[in-house]
Amino acid sequence: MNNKALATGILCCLLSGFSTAEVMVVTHAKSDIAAVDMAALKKLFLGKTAKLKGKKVRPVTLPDTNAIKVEFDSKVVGKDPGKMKAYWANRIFTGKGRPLDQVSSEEAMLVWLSENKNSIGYMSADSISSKVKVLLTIP
Amino acid sequence: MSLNKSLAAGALALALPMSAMAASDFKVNGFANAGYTWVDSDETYLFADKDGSFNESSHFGLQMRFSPNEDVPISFVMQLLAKGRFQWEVNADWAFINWQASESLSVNLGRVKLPFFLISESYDVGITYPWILPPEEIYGFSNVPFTSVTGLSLDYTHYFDETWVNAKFISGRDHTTVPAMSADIPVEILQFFGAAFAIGGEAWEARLSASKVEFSMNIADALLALPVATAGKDAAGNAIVTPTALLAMINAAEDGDPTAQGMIAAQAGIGVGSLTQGVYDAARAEQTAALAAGFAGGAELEALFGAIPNGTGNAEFYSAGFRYDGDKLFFMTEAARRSVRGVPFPDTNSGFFTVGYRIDKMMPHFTYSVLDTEDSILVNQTQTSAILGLRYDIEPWAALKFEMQYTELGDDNIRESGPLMGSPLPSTGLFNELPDLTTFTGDVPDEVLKLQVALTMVF
Repeated sequence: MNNKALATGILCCLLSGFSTAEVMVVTHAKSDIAAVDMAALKKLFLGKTAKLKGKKVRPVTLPDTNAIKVEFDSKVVGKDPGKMKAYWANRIFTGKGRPLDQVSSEEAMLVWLSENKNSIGYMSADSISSKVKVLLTIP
Repeated sequence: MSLNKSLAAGALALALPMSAMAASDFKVNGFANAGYTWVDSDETYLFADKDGSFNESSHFGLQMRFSPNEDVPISFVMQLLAKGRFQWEVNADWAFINWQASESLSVNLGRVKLPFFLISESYDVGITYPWILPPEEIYGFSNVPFTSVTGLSLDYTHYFDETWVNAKFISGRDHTTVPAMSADIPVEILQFFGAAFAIGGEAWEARLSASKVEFSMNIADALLALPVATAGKDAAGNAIVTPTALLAMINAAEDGDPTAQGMIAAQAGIGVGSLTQGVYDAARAEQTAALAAGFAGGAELEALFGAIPNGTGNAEFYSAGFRYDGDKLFFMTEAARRSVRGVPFPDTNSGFFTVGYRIDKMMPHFTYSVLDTEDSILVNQTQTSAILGLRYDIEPWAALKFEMQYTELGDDNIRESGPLMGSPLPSTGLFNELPDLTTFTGDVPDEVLKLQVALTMVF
């Protein structure tokens, strides 16, 4: 790689705010859930539905400032961390439904998904293991 | 805590041991405001004066939600709220059993917050709006003195692709106290009906609401039970007793208590015997006179207090609101009308607009807010406020807010009824919301400057 290519690469990274990582939408390895699209994901993670193709699912998220969560919320839900927090605070404290399940890290996400067959979560490509099934890759 | 609240709390407590069951779910969330308020006035404006106050905009809320079984769409929700404004007394503003009847329909049984205005239900959750607290002219407790009822609420929401519609109905009753004129006046909400309809999209919401409440409140008795009233003297220099104390004394005298018999004999015009309406009225009139004697313009106060009825009243609330909360621009406006009958509190017209603009983590915003009171013999709170604020998002879950507010009191009202009909009633704005009757003169500044800072959090 010559210097020019390197500089271009760095510039791309800077321009895109470093948000180039892929987000993998995942579920339990033996889950019945076969596929999910962006619109359905958005509804699930905004608490507007708790069902996918008529079946109950439980979305699970990561902490507010986790880079993968920020990435996911921005690409799927279209909200920055502050907006997402305010949205959920409004729902939770006005009796409009249960908060989403939340785990502390991607490792914990793997454990959670392997124990909860109807859960749907997300992680970086590096964290994928045989315990989970990838439903969608968000570039 | 009312019986209904206790029941809801009991239901929650009963449900807790089941948490060992598979697939049960228990979640705890909370929010907090820590604020400091200063105003350039010796008279108390809302809850602060020249000495500043940590109480006006500080509060703490804790919410527990328990769902015993994933397959049964029932949850128990309790939100405990303690406010500096009310001496940190803990109240359950929300305590209900939720039944998610379908994806669209949610049924709540228990205590719920009232959806008078667009953001009434999230009034205390500072992270969800730009101000330190929503504009007091419309959202303050002088306009809506009670915020929850115990009963049934139905919430129907349908989500289309980008837009949604929501309809909400609430019916209930409650006991509460309204702090007014330095007394905690017990209020029985006999019947509350409320409905709200909203339509919205990704970033906007438009809403209409109407509510009707029937209540009973014994204002005169509450005022006459104040220490300043009970410490009064009659013309002959004898201590005045409250009607309630008088009743107890008469009972004691009838039981043969010589001290009680002697004290009653000493009260001019009141003989030993059964307590009749006449005796009660005489005691009340005497006390009112003694209370009024301690103030400038005492005769006026006496006439007013004498005109305050004990009994039932009703009120109606209407509102129309719109909110846009985009990536950069924030805009919100709302107009509301309150009409009151049966008690001497005024009708109000209130409204505001706010414009804000996000620049990275900062959001400067400007608000113009109006409260216009009419048709009252007792209180005129007409005022307008301009608020310049800055919200700084420290973290997604924490924001620091600064506000500078300039408030100007409105013109005199002319009393349209009562013993002082035709006379002017000057505005006291939101000064002396909780006046100390020992110092309250009704003589307040025409304008006030208010500075506030607050940290708001959600967890």
